[in-house]
Amino acid sequence: MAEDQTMNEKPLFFNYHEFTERFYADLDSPNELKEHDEDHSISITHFPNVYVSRDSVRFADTRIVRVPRRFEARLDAPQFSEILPGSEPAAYTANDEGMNFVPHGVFDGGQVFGYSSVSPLSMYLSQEQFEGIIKPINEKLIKGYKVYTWYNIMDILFGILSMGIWSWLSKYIYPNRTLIDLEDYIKDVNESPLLQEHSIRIISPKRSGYMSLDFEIPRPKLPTNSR
Amino acid sequence: MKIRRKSSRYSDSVRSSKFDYEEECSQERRDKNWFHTLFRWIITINGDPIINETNNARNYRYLPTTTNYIFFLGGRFRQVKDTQYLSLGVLLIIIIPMVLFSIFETGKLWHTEKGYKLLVIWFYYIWAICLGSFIKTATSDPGVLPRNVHLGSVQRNFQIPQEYYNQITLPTFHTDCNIVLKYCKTCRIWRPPRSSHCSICETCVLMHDHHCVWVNNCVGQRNYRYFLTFLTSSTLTSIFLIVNAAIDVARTPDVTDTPVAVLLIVYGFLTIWYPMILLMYHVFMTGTQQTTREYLKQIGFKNPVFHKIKRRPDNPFERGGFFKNMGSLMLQVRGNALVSARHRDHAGTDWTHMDLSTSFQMVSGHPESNETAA
Repeated sequence: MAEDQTMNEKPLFFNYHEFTERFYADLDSPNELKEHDEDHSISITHFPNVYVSRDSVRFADTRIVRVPRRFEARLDAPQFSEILPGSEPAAYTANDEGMNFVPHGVFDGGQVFGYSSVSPLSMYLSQEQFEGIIKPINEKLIKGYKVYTWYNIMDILFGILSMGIWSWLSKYIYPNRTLIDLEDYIKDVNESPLLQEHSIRIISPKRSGYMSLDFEIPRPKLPTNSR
Repeated sequence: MKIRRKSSRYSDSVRSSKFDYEEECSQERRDKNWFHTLFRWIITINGDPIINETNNARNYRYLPTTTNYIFFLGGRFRQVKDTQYLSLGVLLIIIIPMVLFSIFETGKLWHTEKGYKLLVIWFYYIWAICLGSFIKTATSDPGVLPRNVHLGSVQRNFQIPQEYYNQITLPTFHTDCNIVLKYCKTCRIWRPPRSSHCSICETCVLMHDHHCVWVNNCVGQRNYRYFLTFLTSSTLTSIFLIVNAAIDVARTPDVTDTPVAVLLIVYGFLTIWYPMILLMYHVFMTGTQQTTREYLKQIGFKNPVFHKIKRRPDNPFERGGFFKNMGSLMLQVRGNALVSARHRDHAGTDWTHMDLSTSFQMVSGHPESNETAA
């Protein structure tokens, strides 16, 4: 559990996007919000889709799972966590549920959440598949943010010598390929059968400011037997 | 509908047909719209409050609603509004010596031996780099981060969760250095390390160095290289100005015959110090792997003149060498514009341009705590 680690010297990594909530509705009465004890607090692991308009159908039908930035490997480029949300070293775990997303409560306008840090993304992707998607993204980011590359040094020199005009021309004459490659890669992954069949897609990290890697997933449904 | 009713009232007294009047009105409206659009293109002071998918304009039309930026020429240039606009003064300080030099000195130096011609050319080129880098620093994107990307929930008026008020400590590869992350309650994002919210620009800036009142813009990841170029080139411009004017003074038998050259020497000596000292500061700050903000924070926001620039012991960004540190900061990659004023990518959704900072915030019980949660 996250709190236990404050005793240790070294902090443990966890998904800082998630938070817990004790004031929520139970599955059998989704409209009645009530206080629960600490052991029964739900973990908010998916969030409103801020990449589509609020009044759109897509907003109502989809949610966002945020993969956090991780800093253990390196600090000179944005790096995203390569472990499936819910299996981080300081993640909240629920007994017997393992890496399954099991809804226990209703919060934030009819959305369902479980007790543990496991996000609904686990319903669609395994750890291996997830890692296979994220690793190339991280590698491309390292390349894109490398200081001592011919492109960057040339970019700086041309910028100085051209009195700043180069920055307007570079995108037409000689754009930086590495970060464009990342966009292309994400497009390819989004078109892959693995993501298509579950109707999930990765939001380009350019739109999330490289602050988190966001997966758009179908809105987790209220279990039918609970009604 | 309104126009039609108005026109029927008019039709009694004025002998013009309803149709003509309507035509005239819509023509007038079109002209007004056309003029309005052009004016908005030249200078955008207030943003468009209504954003929907059909109104898919470029971002510069919406950005002024949430930030303090004003945009010029279709979002190509920016400045911060409601400030003292000291940048205009700096622009004058840059332009005046060039004008004086062109009128009184260029001709005289050009028509002498070849060596001086080269000096004159160098002066103009370095001056142009100085002006160009000043304009780029002052009017380009410092690294603005998108807003509302990390909303906790929609219910209860976008209430910020209690956990988001904590500072988060996360591990790095150094055993004794950690990363501290903070949630920006205004921009509603988990700010990346070294970024910070600028209250003058009203936006979070990537690798925030400082807000420079002289350029009336923030200095961050995307314009730091222009800022350093500006400091270097303005120092060099002053040197070339002094050298060129001194040559003229030396070649003239009576000093009183070249008062402008003397004036330019004095001007050069006055304008060289500030950028040169600032550049030295940046050499030592980057060498010790610090941004201006981090350095000022370290010394407790006191007057930096009386403080030595020292390495921070727990700096996770430390590269283990003065020049390695300097290179990593001075030559840092600009990266993509995350909220480009010229793009239309965010305009389709209304989230990134929404100001939630005034919405409900936890009033009591959850002040910004310094606890670290791991």
